[in-house]
Amino acid sequence: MVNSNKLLTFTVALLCLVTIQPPLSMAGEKLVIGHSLSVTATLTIIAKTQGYYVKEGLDVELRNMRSGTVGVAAMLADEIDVSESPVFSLVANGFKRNDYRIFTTTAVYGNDNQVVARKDRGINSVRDLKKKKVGTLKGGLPHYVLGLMLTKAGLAQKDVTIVLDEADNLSARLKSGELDAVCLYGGWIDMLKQSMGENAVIIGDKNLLRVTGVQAAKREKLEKNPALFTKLLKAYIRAEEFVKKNPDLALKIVVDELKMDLTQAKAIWKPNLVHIGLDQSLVVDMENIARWQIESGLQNGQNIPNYLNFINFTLLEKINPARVTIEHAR
Amino acid sequence: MTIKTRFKITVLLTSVLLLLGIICVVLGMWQSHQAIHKAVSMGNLVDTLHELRDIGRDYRLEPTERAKEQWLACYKKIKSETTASPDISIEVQEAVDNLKTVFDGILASKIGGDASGMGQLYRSQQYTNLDLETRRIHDWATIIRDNARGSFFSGSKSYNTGIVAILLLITIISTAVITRVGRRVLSSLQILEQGANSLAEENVGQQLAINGDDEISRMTGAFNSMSRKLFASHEELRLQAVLLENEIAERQRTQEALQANNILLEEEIEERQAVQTSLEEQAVALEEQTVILEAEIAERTRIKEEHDRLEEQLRQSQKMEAVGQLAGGVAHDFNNILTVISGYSSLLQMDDSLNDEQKKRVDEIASSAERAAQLTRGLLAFSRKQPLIMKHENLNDIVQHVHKFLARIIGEDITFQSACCGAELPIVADRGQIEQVLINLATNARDAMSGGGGLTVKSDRAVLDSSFTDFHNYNVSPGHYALLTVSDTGMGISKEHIDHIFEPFFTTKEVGKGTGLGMAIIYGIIKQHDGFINVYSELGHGTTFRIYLPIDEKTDGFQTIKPEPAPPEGGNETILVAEDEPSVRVLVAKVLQGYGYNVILAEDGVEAVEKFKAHQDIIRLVLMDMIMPKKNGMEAYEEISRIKPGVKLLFSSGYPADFIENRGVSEKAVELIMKPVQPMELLRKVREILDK
Repeated sequence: MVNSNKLLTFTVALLCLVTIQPPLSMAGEKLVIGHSLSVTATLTIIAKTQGYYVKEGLDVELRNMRSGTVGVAAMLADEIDVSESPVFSLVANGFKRNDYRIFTTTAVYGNDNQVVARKDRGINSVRDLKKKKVGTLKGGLPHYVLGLMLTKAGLAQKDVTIVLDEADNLSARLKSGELDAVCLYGGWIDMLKQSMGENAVIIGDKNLLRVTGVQAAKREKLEKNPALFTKLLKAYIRAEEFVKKNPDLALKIVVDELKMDLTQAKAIWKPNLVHIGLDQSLVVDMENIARWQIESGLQNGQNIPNYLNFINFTLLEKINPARVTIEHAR
Repeated sequence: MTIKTRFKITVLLTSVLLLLGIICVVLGMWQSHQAIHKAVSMGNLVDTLHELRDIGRDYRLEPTERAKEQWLACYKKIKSETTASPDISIEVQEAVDNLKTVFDGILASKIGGDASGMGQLYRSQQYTNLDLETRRIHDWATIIRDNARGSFFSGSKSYNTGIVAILLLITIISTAVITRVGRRVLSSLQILEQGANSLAEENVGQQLAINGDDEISRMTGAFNSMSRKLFASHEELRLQAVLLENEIAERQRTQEALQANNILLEEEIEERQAVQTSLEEQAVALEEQTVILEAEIAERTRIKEEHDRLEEQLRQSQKMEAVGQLAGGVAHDFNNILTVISGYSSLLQMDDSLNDEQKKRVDEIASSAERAAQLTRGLLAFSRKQPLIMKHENLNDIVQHVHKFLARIIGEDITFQSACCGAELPIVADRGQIEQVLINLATNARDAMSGGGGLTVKSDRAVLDSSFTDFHNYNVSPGHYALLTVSDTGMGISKEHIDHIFEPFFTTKEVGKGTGLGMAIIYGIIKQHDGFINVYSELGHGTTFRIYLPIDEKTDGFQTIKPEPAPPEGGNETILVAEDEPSVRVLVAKVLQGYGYNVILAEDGVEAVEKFKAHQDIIRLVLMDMIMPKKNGMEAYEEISRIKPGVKLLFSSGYPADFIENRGVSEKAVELIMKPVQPMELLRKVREILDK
């Protein structure tokens, strides 16, 4: 006869075996990611704070980059493994080299590049910039946005005098009155607003442009260790689900992490625009920027590179083919 | 606590847990239902957003007014769906609103279009913005839909897990309680078993220890009580056993005395059995003698019957002989008298002094004298004392010659027809005697048709084979015969009379209307011609005589006797034979069975229908007499046809074919075979019909 106490013990043990999950893997693979100080880094920050990197078996180090362009330069110089930046920062490199690959977009955001003008020069709208001196970053996203703003206002590039310089120089030259207006982004706008007070006129259009955030790595690294980057993408997908389920909490986490103004962040950040995927608009976006760079004389080459060659489709396709909607040879 | 109470508590606990399980299932179903609803709703939104994005792309390629209207209509639909849905967050609704702003921007840029490269870039960027915005909302809705689907499955899974856990818990508790109770029951039962074994070894009166107050304890108490009672009973039985032993000893003594008497009785029985055996042997001997005596009596009866029959035959022969002698003696003198009458009549006929009236009377005298002479010749022929004047004759000539005379004899009320065979029918015959035969038959027919009717005389050729003569017991040789058929539609002859019609002085006519010699004379004449005659008659329908006379082969230019045709093929089919005449019925059955057929017999039309109804599945052919008691052949046939349409049928009849046809039989398209039946012909006909 089977003892009833033994039977009870056996059953409880069986229940424990069924219900207890296997232990998480503790051996993490090292990875360094450089991200901009912008809401474009939402998924990168959420994946870190919510422990999704660890759950996928990764040991990720996040490094703050001053701008997307700086982050891309660091990735190309092998200082970091992955760069997180607006796609704009990668387009110009396509004219010079082919050793990097975009392996996902992370988000699409509203335009936070704005014009700061001097009120005492009678500037209240973009049309008022005609025959004025306007400064911006050479070849940077603000430069591109300025072109779009002028076009939208019915002005041509030649209708204004465009001065190209570094961001800090441009701020100083505006405040001194050498320039009538500047087109800059993010923190520079806040700084000028504070320093110029009521003389500063902010002219923005968040719907003018959708800034696509992407992550890229050197081709060699991607091909050498695809499993590592697959884990990274899975962590981002977990983060994306978190953001979609908890948008307010997610934004608060990001803003706290980046020490940003919540109101300003809300103006350009929408949870629905956070997305891991590779969409056809990415290529169109890159081609538009490349065309602008050629027409603006920023690039010597007259041919737009084939940006399909700068995208790694394989990693994301293996995880979820539905997230890849770019037409390409399979 | 009793075992029953423990089980009740277990059942109650299990029921509560089961109820909890059911609640979990219901909640799981409700959650799944909600998730499905959400998934379907979001699925629709995803599809519409997909459509909006496609329209936007189309508009970019070809910015027509129609594409614009399509985009706006699709947007309106999305706006309506997202506003109405509780699953859509404010952020998404704002994103949807923003779509319209972006699209309006595109429309505005078109209006004030800048043709420069920057203008094109600007528009391209706006389209890209629109595409991206749409795509992001699409992705958002997709995730909500997928989450809803996932919620359905995970909800189901979690509730299923809950149910499994509860069921497992039920099993554990039930097993523990049952095991505990089982152990208690088992240990108590072991004590009881030991007690029962001890009791079986006659350790009566023992008492078991009682532990507790449950059912087992009560059972142990009952066992102890039973043990005590058994002990008391055991003591009682022991006393009874002593008394019984005494009684058995007394009975044994009585039995020994009875056995001694029994031996004496057995000896007496053996003696009586010896006497009985002797008596039985005598009875057997007597039975054997009885059998011998019975056989002897039967033989003597048979001999007596044979003797009586021979005496009858002798008397008949003597009577016929006497008649013959009388007729022969009288005929001679009578002929002389008639010669005188006839001679003088002839002289008077030649006397021209007689007037017409006188001559007419003389003619009557001469005619009567002639008939008297014929009668005399007939008598002589019957007594076979008449020397026949045998010549080569053609039967057709005789029939044609006598035609007018016969017509006169039968009178106007009777229709008379004669038909002769197309070929000659050469015979050796006394023409006058054959004519006498026809006259006698016609006279009888006339008397049988006092109310009118029909008489037919027909000549034909017939070939009789050995089977015919064998089966009909006619003492004639096989070969070619001239056949003379005389049929009337008169009253017919009854069965009891038909066997006697050829006997001398047999008549059914009133006194003074018949001599009773007519048919006997016919019989005698035909016999003298080495022929034979048969008669077929149905009471109320008519009579047919067939006279067979040997063909004169010396003068027959027609044909010689041909070798008999090969016997027909037999078969194994089942045939229903309906015939009221027993001898014919038996004959036909023998013929058919001899050739392998199965035969079912019926005595009349009613029985024929009944037997057909009972065996309709196996009967392949019905062979039926036309005229039968209770129900005639035609009526029986019509009824059988209703039972099984198209059944094969063969009628038999003693009437000539044309006689039958005149009664509508041919209209029914049935087969007919004439009586007397020729076996070979019957078999051929049967096979032919079955093979049709």
